This record gives sequence, C-alpha cells and structure tokens, in this order.
Amino acid sequence: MKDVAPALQPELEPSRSGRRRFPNKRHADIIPITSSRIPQANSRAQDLVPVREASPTPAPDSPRSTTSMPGAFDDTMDDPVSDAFTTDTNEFGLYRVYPHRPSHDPDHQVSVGSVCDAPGLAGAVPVPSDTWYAGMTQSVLGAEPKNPLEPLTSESVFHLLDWFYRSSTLSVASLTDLVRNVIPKIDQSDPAIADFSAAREFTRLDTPLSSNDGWKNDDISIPVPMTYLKAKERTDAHIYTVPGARWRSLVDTMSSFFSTMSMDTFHITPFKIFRMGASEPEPVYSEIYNSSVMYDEYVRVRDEQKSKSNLEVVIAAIMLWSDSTHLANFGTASLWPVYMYFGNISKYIRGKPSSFSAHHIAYLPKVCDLWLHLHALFLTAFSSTKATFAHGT
Amino acid sequence: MTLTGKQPSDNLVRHMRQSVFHGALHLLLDDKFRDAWINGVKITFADRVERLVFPRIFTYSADYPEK
Repeated sequence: MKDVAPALQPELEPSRSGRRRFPNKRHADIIPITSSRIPQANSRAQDLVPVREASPTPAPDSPRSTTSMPGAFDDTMDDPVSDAFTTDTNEFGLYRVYPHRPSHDPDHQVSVGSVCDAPGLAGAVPVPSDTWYAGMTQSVLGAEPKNPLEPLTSESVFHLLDWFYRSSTLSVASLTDLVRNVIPKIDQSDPAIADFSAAREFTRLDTPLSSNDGWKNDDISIPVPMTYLKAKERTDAHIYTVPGARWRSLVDTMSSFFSTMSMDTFHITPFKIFRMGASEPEPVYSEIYNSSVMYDEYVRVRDEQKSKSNLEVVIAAIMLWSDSTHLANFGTASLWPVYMYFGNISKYIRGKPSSFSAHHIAYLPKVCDLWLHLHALFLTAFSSTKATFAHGT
Repeated sequence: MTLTGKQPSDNLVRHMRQSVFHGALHLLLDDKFRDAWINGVKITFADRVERLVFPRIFTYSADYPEK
C-alpha cells in the first residue's frame, strides 16, 4: 500500500497546531482497477507518462522519446514474442503482459473518486457537465456546430425556457430572476420572440433525434412466411415494410466519441493479467481489454497493418445492448433502443450512470399489431397448418 | 384483436420481431462499418495523436420483445 498511498490518500485539514494530517490507512479503499495496474516500483513502468492533451510532443533528441511512443511504432519490434512487455508483480501477485510497450496507461490516473458514484461521497469526481449529451447527439461534438443550442433556434428562446425549467413552481424569487436575469438577455429584434409560442418551443425540445445529429430514418423490409404457397414459390414474394427505424452510423458515433473523450479512462493497448501461482502463472480476466480475444485480435491486426501504416492500431471493443423498455406503468408506451458501449473503458467507469458511457445507436420499430392480426386472418383463409409458422420454416 | 377473435400465433409474432431486429442490424452494419472493420478508421484522439481504429463487436446482449 505504501507505493500507492500518496496518489490515493487525500490530505485532511491541518490540525490546530498546523500539523499535517492524513486519513487512517486502515480506512483506505483498494481501487478495483489499480489493484492490477503497473506497479509503481517498476522503473520501466514509471516511464509510462501518459501523453496529456496539452503537452507538446517530445523533441526527437529528448530522452523521453525513446521510451514513450506517441502514436507510431518502433521499427525494431518485429517479433511479437520479444515485443511482449511484462510488468513486475503488484501487491496481489498480479502482473501484466502487454503485446509491446504500451504508449498509454490510463490506470495511472484512476482514483477512488473516479470509480465511485454517489453525490454524498467526498472526493467523487464530478462529471464534466458539458459532455453528458454526447451519447445522444453528434452536432455538438463536431468542429463547428451550426447551432450550439440545437434544437432551439435562438438564444432568447433558450433563456426563456431555461428560466421556466429552473423554476419548478413560480415564486417571488423566480419573478425577480425573470426580470433581473432573463428579460435583459431577450433580444427584442429576434424573429423567434416576435411570434413566440411556448408550445411550439417545447415541441421542438421533444423531438431531439434530429438529422443534424446524424440520425437517419429508414424502413425495415422483412420477408413474411406465406405458408399457403409452396416453398419454391415464396422466395421473395412477400415483403412487409416496418416504417420508422431510427439509427445512426456506428462509425460516425465512434469517431466523434473517440476524438473528444478523455484519454484518462481509455485503454488503447490490450494486455493479459497473470497471478503468480505456486506452480505456474494463472491467467486473470476482469475486463474486455485484458481478455485473450482482444489481445489476440490486437496482435493480429497490428501485424497485418505493420507493412501498410505506421499509425498505432487501436481495437474499438464495441458492446451492443438492446432490450425493449417500457416507459410507463400503464398503457403500452415503450421504446426499443439499441445502445453501444466501448469495452476499452473499465466496467467500473462504464457502470456509472453519470459517466454517460452508453451511446444511443438505434430505436427500432415494432411490428404493428393490427398488421399481424390481418396477416393471421389472411393465413387462416389459406392454411391450417400451424406448425408452418414456426421460425425457420 | 377483435376482428375475428383470433390472435396471430406466437411463433409468427416471434419470427416477425426477430426479423425486424435483424433488419435493424443490417442497417447498422452498413458499408461504412464494413469498410472500417477491414481498413480501419483514422481518428485523431483527444491527445492529438492520430490512430487507426478497428471496430470489433465483442458482446451483443440483446433481448428482443417476443410478444
């Protein structure tokens, strides 16, 4: 624990005599991610300075440039076996094997605060409030958003609606707020104010999946089993079109997310974890980025790309998730969303609702109940063999 | 569901729902995605380093509504 204590233990308020105080070490939590991280004692691992956003690229003659690899690969790394970079064991007897010396180790940055998620906990890292909607939209992540207030049309309207939503019940204080803080910001020459309609603006807010954010609207055509025909005759004769599938490009969503997300939590090099056992090292799995599948795929793609490109290869571990979601206790209002997560981010961070790790990818339509009924009616007129409905016939 | 009092069979409904789901996956796994799968996408990360990203689907946990 001595090695990691300085990073984990925040200092308490100094005592009255001015003596520095630290929390009792018995109460220090062990962080699930860092329990298997590159040990601080490893002299080579200490060179793993993550490339920070603002830091300039090291000059070619600086000593750091030989140990850190920002982006490109070293040409001397030809043999994948000799490339393998093994760390020392940590306090739990765990060590990592990387396919090569990693250019970036996000687990250096992990603290107790970044993996816990309760507003009352001291030290919980607040979520950057400007990125939570990244899972829904793309335009805000673009270089030059056309309208930062999308879907609202003007700043004046934004101030009015903002005031309305902030005051849950209108009060004396909210009236003061309106007159002092909102009305001065209203641009009277704004055409949206001249014929202002609150109802219209709220409708705008209720339709967030705009095409500006990369959302597309498509129909899904599916073949229908027409069992009254012989198998040869029903090739593609009957196509039922389900309208209203909303979706957006996986690649675009991935690109806009990867180009803006913080590198602090993102694993770009997969690795293996082993535990020093009594006889032989025992593999340990806890995340996608330390699974054999990702490791092997990474090595395969990297070797394949070695002759084609000198860019660092990154495997984006896509995790798709979908389930029908009821929106209300009564009635039939429901959504059928498809989400995308990235396995490059630790499950401890991905699991925090406030990390907004889910990316909305699609909203699927439902097969219309009335259509199903008519279809069944139609079928009963021609066919009586119920077994032919079964999937796969 | 009252025209004849008969419901469409569960098997048919299940089949249609499954077809819709796979139709949606067909939309999502478009040409752009297949190209990215094979050739990778160049993305400049937040640390301003350009990297070649290969999307791979690792998990697919879906429960489509049967009824």
